[in-house]
Amino acid sequence: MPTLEVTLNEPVYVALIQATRLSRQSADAIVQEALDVFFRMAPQPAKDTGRTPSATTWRRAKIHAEAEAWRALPDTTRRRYSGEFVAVHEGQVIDHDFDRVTLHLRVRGRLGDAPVLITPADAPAPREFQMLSPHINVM
Amino acid sequence: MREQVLQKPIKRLTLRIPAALVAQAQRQAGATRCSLNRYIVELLS
Repeated sequence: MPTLEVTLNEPVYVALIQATRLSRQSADAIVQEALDVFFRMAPQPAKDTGRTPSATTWRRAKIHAEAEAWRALPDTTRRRYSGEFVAVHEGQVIDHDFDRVTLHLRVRGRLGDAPVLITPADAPAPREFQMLSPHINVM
Repeated sequence: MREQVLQKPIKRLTLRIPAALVAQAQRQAGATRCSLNRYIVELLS
């Protein structure tokens, strides 16, 4: 596998290292996943827009991937959480609660600002809540 | 008073990424007229 040397500013480096600790994945795996998820959402190069991918774009792509994973679960599994809100991360239901804010705070306490889908289990159409976090300025 | 120039600390990281993914990122970075490094930094920010 080819190696790629990247130069990161301190905040991005720290965020990446924190992500490796939280997800117990290597930095290689996290960058690969970020590229993978982003390309799945935007497979065609954005010609001449002069815009680079943003944190929002990648986070949104991650949330969409979690929403797909949630919708792919069998009805019986989803019905188990009827009336509640569920938190989906890495394709798994990691927590659930009748109160969205309680769930949000619990998940944030556990995973920091990692992108996690929080959605009502009974929502007929895809309905998503994105966890918002302060953006990091890049150099 | 002597002026001090503060440099932003930077970190160099060597990543092992599949060639196909690097090629795709390079194409995308080219289309957005930025370097591959900047593209990855923005993606991770």
